[in-house]
Amino acid sequence: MKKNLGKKVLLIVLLVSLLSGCASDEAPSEKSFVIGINQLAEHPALDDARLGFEDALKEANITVEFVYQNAQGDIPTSLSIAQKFARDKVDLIYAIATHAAQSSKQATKEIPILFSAVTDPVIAELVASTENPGGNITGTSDATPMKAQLETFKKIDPSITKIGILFNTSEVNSEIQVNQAKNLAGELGLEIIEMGVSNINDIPQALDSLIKDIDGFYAITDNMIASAVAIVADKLNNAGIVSVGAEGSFVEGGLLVSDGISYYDLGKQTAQMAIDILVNGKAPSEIPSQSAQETKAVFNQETLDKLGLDVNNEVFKGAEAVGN
Amino acid sequence: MLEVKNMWKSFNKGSEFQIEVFKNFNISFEGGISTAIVGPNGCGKSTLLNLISGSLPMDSGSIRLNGNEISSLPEEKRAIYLGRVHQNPSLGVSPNLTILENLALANKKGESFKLRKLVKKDNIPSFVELLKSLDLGLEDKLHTQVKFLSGGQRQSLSLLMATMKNPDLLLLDEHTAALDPKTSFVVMEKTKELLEKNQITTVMISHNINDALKYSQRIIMMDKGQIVLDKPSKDVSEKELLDIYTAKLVEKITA
Amino acid sequence: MGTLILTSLEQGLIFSVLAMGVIMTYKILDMADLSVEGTFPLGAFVFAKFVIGGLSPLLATGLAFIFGSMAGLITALLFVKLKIRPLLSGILTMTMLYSFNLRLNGKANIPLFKYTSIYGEIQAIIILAFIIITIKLLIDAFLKTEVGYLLIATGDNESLVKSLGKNTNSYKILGLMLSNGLVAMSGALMAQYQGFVDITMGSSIIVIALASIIIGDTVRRNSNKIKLTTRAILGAVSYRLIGGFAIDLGLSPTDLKAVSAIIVIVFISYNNFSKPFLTTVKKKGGKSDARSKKYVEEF
Repeated sequence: MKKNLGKKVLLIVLLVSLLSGCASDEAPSEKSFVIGINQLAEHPALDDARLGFEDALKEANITVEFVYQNAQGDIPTSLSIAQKFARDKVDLIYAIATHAAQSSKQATKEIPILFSAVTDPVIAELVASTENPGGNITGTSDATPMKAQLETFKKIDPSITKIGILFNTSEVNSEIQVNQAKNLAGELGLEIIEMGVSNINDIPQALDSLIKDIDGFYAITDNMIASAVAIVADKLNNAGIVSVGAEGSFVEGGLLVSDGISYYDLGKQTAQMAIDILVNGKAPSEIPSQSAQETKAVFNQETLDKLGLDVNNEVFKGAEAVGN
Repeated sequence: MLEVKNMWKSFNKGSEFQIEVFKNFNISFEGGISTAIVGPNGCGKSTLLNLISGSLPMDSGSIRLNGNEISSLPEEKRAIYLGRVHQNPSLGVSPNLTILENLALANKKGESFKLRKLVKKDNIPSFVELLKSLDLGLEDKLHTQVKFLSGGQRQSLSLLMATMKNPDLLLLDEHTAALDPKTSFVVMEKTKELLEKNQITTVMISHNINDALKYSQRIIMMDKGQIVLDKPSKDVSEKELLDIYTAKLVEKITA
Repeated sequence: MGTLILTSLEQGLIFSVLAMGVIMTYKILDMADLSVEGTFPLGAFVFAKFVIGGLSPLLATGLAFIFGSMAGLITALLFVKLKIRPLLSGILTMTMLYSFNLRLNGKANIPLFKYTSIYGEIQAIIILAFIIITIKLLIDAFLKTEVGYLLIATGDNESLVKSLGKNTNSYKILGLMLSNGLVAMSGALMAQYQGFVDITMGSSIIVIALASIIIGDTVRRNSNKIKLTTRAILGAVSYRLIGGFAIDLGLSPTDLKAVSAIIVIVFISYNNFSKPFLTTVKKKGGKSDARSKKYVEEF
C-alpha cells in the first residue's frame, strides 16, 4: 500500500511539473522578454488588440515570449492573472480592456503595464493625465474620433437632427461615450436620444421604442450592442434610419458606415510603446497615453442600397465597401 | 378546563364545494381528565383539534381555556398553553438538531429567547432524568441528531417535549398511528404514565378503538360534526362502539 | 506555487464571507436567495461611496454590512408580508439593487486606487485571516444562542417553532438580513482587494457561493461535528485554489470555464454517490495532492 502511494505521489508530482513546464518558457539563449497578456474576455475587438500587438513585436525582430491568459470576463480571475504575472516578474504586462488594466494596476506598482481597449484611462484612474501618466502604467485608448463621426450624419442628410444611442448600462465605457456625444451634439446641430438597457434581451423592444423618435442612429463601442448588431442593423435598416458605427465591426454587421479605429492597428500602436519600454529603457510615466492615430473608413453596400443613398456622397469616398 | 361554545366552521365558504363541518358546536373538557375522540373519517375530529390549536380559524364561536378566551390568539400564541403531538413523528422535533438541543428548546417554551447560550450544562442532568423515564435508552444518545432516531423514539421525544412545561391542555393527534404495534404500545404506556403523573387535561384522537378505551377516562364518538356518543370509558365496551361504526357505515352505503 | 496559493487563499477568504452569508439562507433556512447577486455589488458600491466621502475603510466596510442587511430586509418583507415566493422576492430585490447601485455613485465603475483599504500596506492575507476568523467565531457563537437555535429550527421544522410560541416570520427576516449583510461585506472586502468597484461584480456570484458550499459539504459528509462556517470557509478557499491551479498550470483560457463546471459536477457527484474517496486519499497524501490528481485525471 505504502509503496503504491509513493509511486502515485511521484507520478502526480512529475505530471504536474510537466504540465507547468508546458506553460513556462524554455531557457532563453539571448536577451528575450517575457510579456504577460492579461485579456479580459474573448471578443473580436480585444482579440484584434492582442494580435496587432503580438504581430508588431514579431515584425520588429524582438525575442518575446508571450504568456496569454484570458479572464473570461471574470474580474477576480483577471486579478489573479495579474498577480501571477507580478510575482513571476514578467518584463511587461499587456492588459486588454479596462477591468484587466485596473486589476493589473492593483497587482503591481513596479512592473510596467501597457493597456489597450480602454475608453477613458483618466476616468478609470489608470493614468493621472494623458500627458503625464505618473506611475507604472500607460497605453492606448480606443476613444473614437466622435466629433468627426457625428458630423457624418449631416453630411449624408442635412435634415437629420435626432440621433439615437442604445447602450449597456453596465458598461462604464458606454456611459462615458454617451456623455461625450451629448456634449458634442449641440454644436453639431444634433440632439441625442439615449436608451439604456441592462440585458441583451431588452434590445429589440428598446430599439422599437427608440426608432419612433429618431432619424439617425449612432452605435458606440459597447460590447453588448456589438453582440446584438445583427438585430440592431435589421431594425434600423427596415425603418430607413441612417446609422453610423464607432468602429468597423458594426458595419460588417449591417450598419451603414463607420470611420473608426481598428483594434488591430491599436494593438500595433501599443507595441511601439512596448518597444520603447523594453528596448529603449523608457519608463511608462515618460510615455503619454495615446488614442488611435489612424482611422479606417468602411461602408456596407447592401445597407446603402437598401436606404437608397447615393454612393457618390463624400462620406463614402475612399471608404472600403464591405458586405453583410 | 377547555370550553368550546357555539362554534361554526365551513370549508370553501361561498363556493359550490362548501362543506359545513360544525354548526353551533359545543363541547367541554374537564381539567385533569383524558378524553378520547373516535369516529369515521371526515367526522370532524382532526378539524376540531386544529380549531382548538389555532391551525385553522373558526368562522365564529368561543374557545375558553381555564376561563381565558383564546380564539383571538394566533396559533403560536396559543401554543404556549398547549402541547401537541402529531401523527407524523417528525413534526414535533427538529430533525437536524440533537436530542439535547431539542429538549433545550422545548424547555424554553413560552419564554423569551435571547442571545444567550441555549444549551446549559446545568440542565443536562434533569434532561437525562426525563429521558430515562422513557426507558428507550435515549439518555445515552444526547448528542445524536434526531433524524437518526426511529419513528417511535422520535414520537416519544415529541411527547416529552410537548409535556415538559406542563401545558394546560395536551392534544394528541393520532400520535401512534404511524407506529408499529409494539412501539405504539410503548408510546401509549408512556403517554398514560405522563398524564397520570402530571394530571394533564388531554384530548386524544385515535382510530384504534382499543387504545381509545384503554387509555382514556371519557370517550366521545363524533359523526358529521356532531357528538353521537359521550360516556365514561369504563361504561363503554368495544363491541358497542363497533356496532355504532358499522351502523353508520351501512347508513352511508344504503344512502 | 507559493504565488498561486497565496492569491487563491486571499480571494478564497473574501469569498468565504459570501459563503457564510449564503449558508444562512441556503442551508439553514433552506431557501434560495438570489438577492445576493445585487447585495454583493451593493456592499462594494456602498463601500466606495463612503470611503470616497472620507470615512475610514473599516467604517465603510461596516456600513456595507448594514446596507446589505437592509436589502435582505426588503427581500424578507416581500416574502413574508406580501407573500411573494422567496425565489421571486430575491430576484425582485436584485433587480431593484441594480439601479440603486448605479445611482449610488452615478457610475458603473469606480476606481479606488487613491484610497486606503482595510488591508493597508500589510499582506492582505493577515488582515483577511483575522477578519474571517472573527466573523466565523461570531456566527458560531450566535448559532449556539437561543435566537440562533430558533433560526435553525425555523429552517428545519416551522411547526416546532410555532409550538414553542414563536412566530417564524421574525426569524426568516433575521436570517435574510444577516445573510445579505455578510454578502455585502464580502463585496466591500473584494472591492478593496481589487482596487475598484464595478457593476458587473455580482454576476455569477451565486455560482461561486453555491460551488463553495457544495465543495465544503464533501468534507466528511456525514459528520455533524464540522460546523457550517468551517465548511463554508473550506469550500470557498478550495474553489479558488482549484481555479488558481488552473491559471498556474497555464490552462488554455477557453478551458477555464469548463473546468469550473467540471469541479462542481465532480463534487456534487461525490456528494451523491457515497465513496470515501476524498477521506482516504486525504489520510494518505494531503489535500493538494488529492486535488491535482483529480485535475490530471480530468485531462
